[in-house]
Amino acid sequence: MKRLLTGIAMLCLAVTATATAAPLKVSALHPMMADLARQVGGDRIEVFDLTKGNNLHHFEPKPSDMATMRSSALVLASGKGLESYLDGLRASLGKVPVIEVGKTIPSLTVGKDAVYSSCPHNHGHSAGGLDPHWWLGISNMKRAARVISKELAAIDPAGKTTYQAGYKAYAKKLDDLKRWAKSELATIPSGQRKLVTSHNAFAYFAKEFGFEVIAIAGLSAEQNSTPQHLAHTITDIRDSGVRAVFPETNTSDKSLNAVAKQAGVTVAPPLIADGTKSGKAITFEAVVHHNVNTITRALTAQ
Amino acid sequence: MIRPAWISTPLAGTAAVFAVLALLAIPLHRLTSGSAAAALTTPAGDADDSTATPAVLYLRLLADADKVSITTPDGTPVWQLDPAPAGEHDIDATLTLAHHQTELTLTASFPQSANETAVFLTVEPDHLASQTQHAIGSGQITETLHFSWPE
Ligand SMILES: [Zn+2]
Repeated sequence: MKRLLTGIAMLCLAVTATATAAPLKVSALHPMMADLARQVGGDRIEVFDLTKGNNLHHFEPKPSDMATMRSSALVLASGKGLESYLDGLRASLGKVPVIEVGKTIPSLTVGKDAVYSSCPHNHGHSAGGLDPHWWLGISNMKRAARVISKELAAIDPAGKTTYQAGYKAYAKKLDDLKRWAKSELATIPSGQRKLVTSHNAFAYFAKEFGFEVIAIAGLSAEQNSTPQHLAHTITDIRDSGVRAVFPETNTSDKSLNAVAKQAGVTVAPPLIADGTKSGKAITFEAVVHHNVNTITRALTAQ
Repeated sequence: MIRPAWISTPLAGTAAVFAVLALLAIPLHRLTSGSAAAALTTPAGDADDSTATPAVLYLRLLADADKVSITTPDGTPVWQLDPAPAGEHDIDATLTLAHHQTELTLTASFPQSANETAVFLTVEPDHLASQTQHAIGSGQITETLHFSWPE
C-alpha cells in the first residue's frame, strides 16, 4: 500500500512538473523582438521568430504564421508603423494580445530631427515620416526589455520574478554594451562622425552616439532616390569630408556604389539594420558589435 | 562587505560620491542644478495643459537608506521605499506634466552615522527621453527635482 501511495505521489509530481515546465509560447514579428523576449524570458518561454530572416519592411504573416500566433500567449511587434498589417492581425487573432514593444519609446521623424545633417527632400524617402528603426538604439532596447518583462508578467504572473530578473540582467548587459560602443566610437575623429547608409535606418543609433545622418535612400532599403536627390547627396558627401559610406546586408547597393564612386569615398563592409545577417537572425548584442566595429574601422582608416 | 578604512572618513566619503558621479559622466556644473531647480516653481500653466502621463521611475541609491519617498511638491505620494537598499529600483507611475515639465520631491533618510551619499532619480515618461536628477547629502535629504523636456 505504501509503495502504491508513493507511486501515485511521484506520478502526481511528474504531472505537475510537466505542467509547469511547458514554456509560454511567444511569437515575434521582428528578430530583435524575438531576441529581447529570449533574453528576458529565458527557459520559461518558447519564442517563434516568424520573420525568419525575411525583409521586415515587406513581411506579412503567412497562414502557417497565423496558426503559430493563434496558439501563442503573446505576439510581439516592434511598432512605430513598421508592421502596417497590425489592425487586421489583431482582428483576426481575437484574444491573443499583440504588443507594439516600441510604442512608448521616443520617436524620430525623418529629416526633422537634428540628427539629420542632410535633410532628405520631400520625395520618395519618407521625409516627415516616423522612423521605425528604434531597435538600433541601445537605451531604447533596454527600455523595450522592461516593456516585455511587464507584458510577460501580466500574462504569466507566476513567472514575474523570473522576468524581472531576466530584464535586470539583460539591462546590465546593455549598459556594458553601451559603454563599450561609446569607447570604440570615441576613436573616430569628430569630423568623420557621419553616417551615409544605403538604408535610412541609423538615426536612433546616430542620435545615441553623436553622429549625423546623411540619408541617401528611404526608410526601407528599396525606396529609390531620384537623380536630383542623388546629385545633392554626392555634393553633401564631398562637402562633409567623410571617408566611407555604408551599404547594408541583404539589400541592393547600386545607388550607394554609384554615389561613392562619384563622391570619391570608400564603400565600407555592410551594416546590419533590421536584425538579420545573411538571412539569419542574430542577437542584438551581435548586431551592435558588428555595426560598431565596422563603423569604427571604416571611419578611422587612413 | 569590508570597506577599506579610508572610505569611512567623511572627506573620503564625499570623494567617493564625486568619483561615482564622475563615472556616471555627470558634469560638475550640474551638481548644483538640483538646488537651483528646487528654487524654480512649476509654471502655473492652465489646467488644460496638464496631462497625466505614464512614466517609469528609476531610483539609484549609492548607500542603504532607511526610507525613500517621492511625492509631488504638494505632497501627493508617488513612490515609497521602506527599506530602501543600495542599488537600482524601478516602478511604474503616472506623472502630471505641464508644458512638458514636472517636479518631484525626493526625501531620503540615511542612518545618522553614514557618510555623504547621492540619490539619483530617473524619470522616463512614455514617448519622452529619460532624464536623471540627483540629490546629495547625509542623514535626512529633501530636495525638489525639476524635469523638463523640449516641447
Ligand atoms: Zn529597415
